[in-house]
Amino acid sequence: MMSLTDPEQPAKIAVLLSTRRHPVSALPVPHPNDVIALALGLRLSKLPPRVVHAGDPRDAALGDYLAFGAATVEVLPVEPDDDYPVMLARHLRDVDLAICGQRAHNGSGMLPYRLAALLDRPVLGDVLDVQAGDGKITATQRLTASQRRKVELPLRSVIAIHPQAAVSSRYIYASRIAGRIVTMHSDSLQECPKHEVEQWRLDPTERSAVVLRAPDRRSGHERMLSATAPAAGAGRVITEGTTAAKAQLLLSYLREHHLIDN
Amino acid sequence: MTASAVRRDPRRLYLTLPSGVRRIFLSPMATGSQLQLAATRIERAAKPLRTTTVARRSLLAVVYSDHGGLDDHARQVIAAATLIADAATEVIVACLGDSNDDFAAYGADRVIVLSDCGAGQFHPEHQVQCLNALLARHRPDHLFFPERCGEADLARRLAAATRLSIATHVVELSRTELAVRDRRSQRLARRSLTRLVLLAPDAVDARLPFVGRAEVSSADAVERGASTYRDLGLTTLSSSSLPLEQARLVIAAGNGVTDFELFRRLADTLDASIGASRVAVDAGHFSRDRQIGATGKTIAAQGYLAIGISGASQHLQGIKGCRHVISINRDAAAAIVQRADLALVDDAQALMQALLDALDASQDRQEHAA
Repeated sequence: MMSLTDPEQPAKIAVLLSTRRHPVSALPVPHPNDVIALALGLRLSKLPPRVVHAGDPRDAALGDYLAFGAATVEVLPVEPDDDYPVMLARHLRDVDLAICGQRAHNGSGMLPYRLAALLDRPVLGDVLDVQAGDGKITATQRLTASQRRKVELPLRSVIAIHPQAAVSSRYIYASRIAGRIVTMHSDSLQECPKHEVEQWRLDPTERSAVVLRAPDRRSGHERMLSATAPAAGAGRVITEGTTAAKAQLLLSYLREHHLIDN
Repeated sequence: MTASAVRRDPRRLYLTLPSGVRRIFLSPMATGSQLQLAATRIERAAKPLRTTTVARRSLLAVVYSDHGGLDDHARQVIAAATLIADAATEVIVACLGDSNDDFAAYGADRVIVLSDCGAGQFHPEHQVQCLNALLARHRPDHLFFPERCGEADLARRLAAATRLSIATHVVELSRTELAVRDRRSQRLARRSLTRLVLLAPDAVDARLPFVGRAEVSSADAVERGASTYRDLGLTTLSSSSLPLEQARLVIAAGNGVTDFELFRRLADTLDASIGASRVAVDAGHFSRDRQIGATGKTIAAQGYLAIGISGASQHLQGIKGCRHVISINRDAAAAIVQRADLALVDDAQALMQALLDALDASQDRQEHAA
């Protein structure tokens, strides 16, 4: 039985990192969601977790991750058209728990799901907190602003951390100097499958998105009427009746629209 | 002479028909609720079916029901499917969890309720299998999901398992194309429609000029196997621990509230977040972070209960995003009454007490039943 507390055979945890450009300065900066994921990975294991980045090994943002506590950053050099989840899956085969952020800066949020499918492991997204136990982990998932779900899943899994997870991290310049960035070269990484090239075309200028709505086939007269006349049944005004009857009406309105549970 | 002249009330209740004709209610007893009933009936009759052609293709919208109903985002996803469907395409709605909603009004042609896939129990393997069964049986051209925790998780699991093409955070949609916001350049990036489409909120206007057939059909039974995940249950945070902007139900006090103890008790019973108007905050009854309005917070709650608030334009600005606004006010001419979906003209203290009594009575009844 593998255990996080067992010093003989500690669990192997990997944290996956992405980088992004700062929206104003366009400088390479670490992704805040991944900084949180890294802090959670550091907190979970006694051993330093493996920290993996698929991308350019010369990316200046990787140094910041060293400062945030990564001892070594392993970089898998990938081309833009590489199906990099396949490479990551090969690289992380002997890792127990893989942790990543919910979504890369310009990403689709598919990486944890692809990775889990390739490694044939369970996956959980929107995770706010993780408690490790005996070969199992208990994760708290954020459903809505007020709803949380606790899920127990095996240690060998992939979890994606929600950006609102309450973990603190510190920037330490000394660890940035002490840390290393290692470029991984191995034969298995050479023949990476190319994924279907997505035909994304960028608009020439920045503009707001057009809301899809039903075409308005009414005549000009009808449109004018609907613009000037108050919408039928827009609001109900109750002036008559006893206070108790009004309270009952209010209560049934709240229930009808699922605003209260009881 | 004057006694024989027929006098008509110029402000009598009337209804504007879809044709633009104003219909006056002749019955002197016609009340507001009768008028509303007639309005919905006329509106329903006026809306035609989207299509009467035999369906050869289909589109599938997958949504969770929330407390037995569909919320705005879920309706937008169904509307998106109906708006890009042509005459020979039927829109199928897979509703995960029970719902009593009127799916015809949402534009659905076929409704499949998967009661055992509701949000209450986390069993992703079973849900993916159920969706796979629907995919195999109906062969929809595209699947639409709202981009939010439950459905988005399910869609990504399905995409990873089946390797169907997927586009997430879609902000613009047409029959042939979709667009997402490129966060690097802030421009829109477009591509052809993918099989799975995860729609961002408010990318679609859910108001439709037509209705669907809403035939109810059942799904093939899928055996519920064991799960690798063990659901340890849902917890709901109390509203008081949430920031006002994220609250689902907000109850706010204004100048008309004098009994603040009663007000807080009502907020506790309803499990609603407490807000206040500027007047109540200035008077020192609430802290500044509870103020709703132009100088305070802008909220987007599902339900907003304004008690003793007249509704200054600065306050109405702060509740722009609220879905259901209910006002309790003694003044029927107050501005909040215009904005409110339900306005009760009564004394705030008396109505709050009556509401608490009604809530206690219903709780007692539930306990007796249990």
